[in-house]
Amino acid sequence: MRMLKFLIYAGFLILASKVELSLGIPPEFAQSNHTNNWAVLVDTSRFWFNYRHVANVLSIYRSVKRLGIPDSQIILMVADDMACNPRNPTPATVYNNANQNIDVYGEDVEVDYRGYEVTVENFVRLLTGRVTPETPRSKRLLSDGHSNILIYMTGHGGEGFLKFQDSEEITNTELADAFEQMWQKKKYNEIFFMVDTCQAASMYEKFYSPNILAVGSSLVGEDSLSHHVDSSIGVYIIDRYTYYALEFLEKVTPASEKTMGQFLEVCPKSLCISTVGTRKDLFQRDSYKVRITDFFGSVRKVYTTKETFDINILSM
Amino acid sequence: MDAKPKNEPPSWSLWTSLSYAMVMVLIGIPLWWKTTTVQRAPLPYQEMLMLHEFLTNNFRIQVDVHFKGFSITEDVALENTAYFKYNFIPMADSEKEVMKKSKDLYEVDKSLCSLSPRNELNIYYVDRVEFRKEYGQRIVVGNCNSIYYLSNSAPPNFEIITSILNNFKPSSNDNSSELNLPLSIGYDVLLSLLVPEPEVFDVTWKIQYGIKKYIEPMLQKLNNFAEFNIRSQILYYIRLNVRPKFNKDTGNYEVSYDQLPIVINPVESKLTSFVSQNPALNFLVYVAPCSSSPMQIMEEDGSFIDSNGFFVPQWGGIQVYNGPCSSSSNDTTPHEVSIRSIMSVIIPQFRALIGVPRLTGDVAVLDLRGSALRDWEVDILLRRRLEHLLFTSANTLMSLGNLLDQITNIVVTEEVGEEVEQSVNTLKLSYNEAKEGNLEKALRYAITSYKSSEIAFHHPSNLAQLYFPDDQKYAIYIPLFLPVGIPVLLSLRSIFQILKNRRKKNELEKSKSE
Repeated sequence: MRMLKFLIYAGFLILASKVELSLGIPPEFAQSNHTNNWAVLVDTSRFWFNYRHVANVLSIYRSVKRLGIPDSQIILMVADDMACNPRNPTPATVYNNANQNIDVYGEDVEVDYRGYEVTVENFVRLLTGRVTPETPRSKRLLSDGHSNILIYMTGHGGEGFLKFQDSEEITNTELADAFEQMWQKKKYNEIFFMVDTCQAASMYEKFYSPNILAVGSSLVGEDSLSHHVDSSIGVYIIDRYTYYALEFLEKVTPASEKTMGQFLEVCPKSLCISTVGTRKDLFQRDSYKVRITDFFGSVRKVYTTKETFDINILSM
Repeated sequence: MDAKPKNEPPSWSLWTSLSYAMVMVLIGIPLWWKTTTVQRAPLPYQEMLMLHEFLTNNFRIQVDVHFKGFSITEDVALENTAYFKYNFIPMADSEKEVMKKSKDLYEVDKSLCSLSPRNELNIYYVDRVEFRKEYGQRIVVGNCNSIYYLSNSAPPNFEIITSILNNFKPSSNDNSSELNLPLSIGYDVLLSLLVPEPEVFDVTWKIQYGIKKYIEPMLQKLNNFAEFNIRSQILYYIRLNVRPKFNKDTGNYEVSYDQLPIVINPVESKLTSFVSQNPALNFLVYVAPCSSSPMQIMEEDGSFIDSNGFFVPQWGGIQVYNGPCSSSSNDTTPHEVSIRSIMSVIIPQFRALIGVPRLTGDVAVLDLRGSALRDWEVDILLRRRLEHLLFTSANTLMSLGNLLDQITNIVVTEEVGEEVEQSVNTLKLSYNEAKEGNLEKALRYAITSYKSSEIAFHHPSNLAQLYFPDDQKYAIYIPLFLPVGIPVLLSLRSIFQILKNRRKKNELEKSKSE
């Protein structure tokens, strides 16, 4: 009798979970207008003890590359060199996990702005397109009105600012104005803005341009915390929000049907300790109906060539 | 002799304090003002801000429409609209000959093609009932600038004609569609042959010949549209991201439709230019590896795609080429890819990518002859491009005007000033040419206007001096001026006192002497 009850109960659970699964798959995705994807990934801190910020940004870089965005459309800004730092016990590598499974530096990393080139001025110039004429193509953001741009920033932040190189700051109003300049010149279709710093939510407070979806690892007044220490390296090697975001992204494939809405739920307070903040009011689509590859990958809209051209007519 | 009052300072101190004050006021303050104002070249702000609205309300590209051979009966009141200028002219004798003697509409079209200038539309009244029977439609559009109204002896229906004509003017939605190239003065076209297994059989292609014979004539026609730079390359040992499934019935390795969106990702890194900033158009020919040959791409509904190709808007086109995998000869000569067969897919892909328009309405179009682009198609593209260039230019100027107006801290260099002037002037010139219907001239001005507006907007000097807000200005200047200013002001006070005393003394002396 008890066995029967147990079996019925188990069967019911299995059935319920199956129903749960089928309900979880989004029925339709809101059509996107983008034809290409760009990513601007910025790490703003120097010094060895900020190793985790470099690991953060390189991990996002790896995910974005794996999901299909080519290097020519990724702008990677890393303010300090951890891989070749004299204090690195395993030179030419950067790890984002104490088990040292993945070397996020790797052999094909392409850093576009390195070291002292990562300044507020260069960042604003990059976004608004007001770069000096001798800037090479790989250091320019050549997006257009059909580009979806992922912008990820990590480092030390405060209420309304983000510290660059430990010597200057970019304020949230400057960032909002830069985005407005981008909107005026139709340099983006949609932007997904991710920021992993203390008081991250203050950075997207002042945005006023349309089509921006933003997420921050902590609210104003909260600090974002790091995840764990690698005792062989001696410093914290990854931040909590980015760690759990990566956990989510690792399961995403280029053909994935996961949504941005699900991504925004990553890292609840129990895991992150800080509260993840989001800003959806400027974004026109429902984030649960937007594919995650709309920002993190490069999924193209495709049209088949239905008719061939008869070459003979050219001589008629 | 009056004794000088004790508190009156000596007269030389009067002159020294006066000279301090003079230097400070006449030389110091103007010098400081001049050296600390932000250099701003004068800009026509009013015009910059109004141009966009002006264009939205007033911009028109005029097209001359000639009705040839229509007998003007009754009151055919065709009013000229803002876009089309209608006029009725009789057919020339040569044209009448062509109409009578040709055996089909293609012959008519070919002969008349040589006579038609650009940016005009000629509507011919074709009085041959058998043509009407053949085509079934009243209106057939030719390959140059001619439209044929096939009569069946009923009086001509001008309403249908004018509704078809709406296809030939640019509409506001055209330029935002993804089936258009992104706006740019130049494009890089790259033709790539992907050979994943060169050790199995080697492949070459006579691509220079192919480009010269098939692509260049098309690009010639698009001279006024944009500059195209063509390159070609062969890439070895690169596979596309496809997982074909073998179909026993057809003997093909089939690539399902849902795999197509992510096919190009592994190849993209090999396709970009590291030098050019122009948008790129890529055309890939993928030689299917023998392990999955013959490879066939499927439609969404599971049917074959004849061309074995697909295109990605604003990026380019791909096709699969199945080489001679089954031949087991030990011939080491490389297989030559059939240029004709790959061009038969590249050409329609190119046409789709640049946004060649399709006509809507009750109208038939003659098949392409002699060229891969019809004249009227190119004209429509040029009109759309003109509109796009002008509106983008006006938008850029407006946005720049707003920026520079609101943030008074930004330097406006001479160069920016000149570019803005040029942009505004050429924009107005282009607008005027467009109103007259001179498409080529209008485009030339529009391109200059667009280039100048982009240079002005993206000039590196247009960055606000980020760290100079007002309260910091006070903090900088007060310690400079106050230590010098206060003693000068106080000495001015004593100067006034002296002058007052002197005047009193003079008055006293005057009153004494009287």
